[in-house]
Amino acid sequence: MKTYQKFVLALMTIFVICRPASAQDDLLAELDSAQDKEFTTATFKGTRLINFHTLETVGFRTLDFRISHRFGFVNGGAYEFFGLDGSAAIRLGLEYSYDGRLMAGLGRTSTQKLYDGFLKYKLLRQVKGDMPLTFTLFVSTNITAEKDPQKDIVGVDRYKYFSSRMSYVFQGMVGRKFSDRFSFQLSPTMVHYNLVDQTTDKNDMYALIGLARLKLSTRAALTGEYAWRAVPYISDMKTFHDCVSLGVDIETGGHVFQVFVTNAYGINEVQTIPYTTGNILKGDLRIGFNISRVFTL
Amino acid sequence: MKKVKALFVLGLILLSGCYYDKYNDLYPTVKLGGCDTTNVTFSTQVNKAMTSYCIGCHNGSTASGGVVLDNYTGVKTQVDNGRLTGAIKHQSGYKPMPPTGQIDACRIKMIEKWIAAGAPNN
Repeated sequence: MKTYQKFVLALMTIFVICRPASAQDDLLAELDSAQDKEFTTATFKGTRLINFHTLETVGFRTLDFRISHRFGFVNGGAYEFFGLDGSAAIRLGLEYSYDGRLMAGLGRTSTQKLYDGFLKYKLLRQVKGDMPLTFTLFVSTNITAEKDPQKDIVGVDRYKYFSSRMSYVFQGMVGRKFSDRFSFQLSPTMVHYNLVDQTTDKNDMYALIGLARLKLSTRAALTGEYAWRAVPYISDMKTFHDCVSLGVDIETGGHVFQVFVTNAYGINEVQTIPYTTGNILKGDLRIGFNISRVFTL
Repeated sequence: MKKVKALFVLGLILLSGCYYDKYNDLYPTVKLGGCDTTNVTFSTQVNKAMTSYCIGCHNGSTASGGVVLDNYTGVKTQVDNGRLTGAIKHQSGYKPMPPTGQIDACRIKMIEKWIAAGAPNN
């Protein structure tokens, strides 16, 4: 059995066996001790930190409308207005949760005309004196709608088969709010592309992502992300770079505004984790922002 | 709630319909990264490049900078005055085109090959 299939099976086992088995106990226990349990809130201030998902899900019956932008390289200088003159990547997304733990989202990224759909479930929640960590599971399916730009050159359509358009992300997120000011998360991640270029390339790509947030004031926080590509998936790993970002979260009632610098142009995980081209050592950084507006339905 | 969970599991099962395809194995006749410049014609490679990268601004009705690239005569004019090569190769003295970034090296080679053959209307 392929590693990837084992992974899915393991995920399914967790959902099918573990959850319903303990669900009844949980419900009864929660009835008794709902008031006693002190769930940690706001480990992160949003479902994304910069490029990557945080362990947070949107709240009870809440719809989150997200707009994300990535601009050109800042090393174009003042003439290019630090990248804002260049072509920008944009993702629009609508994300909803009915119960505040299971959420679903749809989005579209302009780069590669990529549509994404995802499900995210907060399996374990950090509770003071009871549960030290929050654990969230995430799966996404991504479909590119672009026409093969090389088709007229090579005479073959890369997207002859629909399956070649699809890619997936599987992620487990373990995190903890260590104090009112500091939160940290680790996300072991697998990205799967149905079609890769070379015979020696790997369809499965593994990465470990670290996310951290340091609160500066009630409204502002400093954030950082690093995606370490753990296993080589192409013959020359230096073709692409680890995705690194540093940013600021600004919260105003109902809105979360995130401004940052990153070396990634794509906004989806299947683009940022394996195919980030910006080399931070050469100053290939981009300005970007995420805006989130939540509506209670 | 059970329905939602069932949907989640169903989603995961659907996701397991995965492929492990490699472009090189799927299309062995194509060498990725290679560039075949034999049989370059105006109607296929050159016109397609113009359609993909140029005619958004350089067409009969908008003709940015007075340059028209949506027909053979228009393209031939820019070939003869040297501005087509200058622009796509980002040579000094010419305005680099397209403004969003240089087109790929293979397409440039193809267009050069076609120009070297006398830029025929074929």
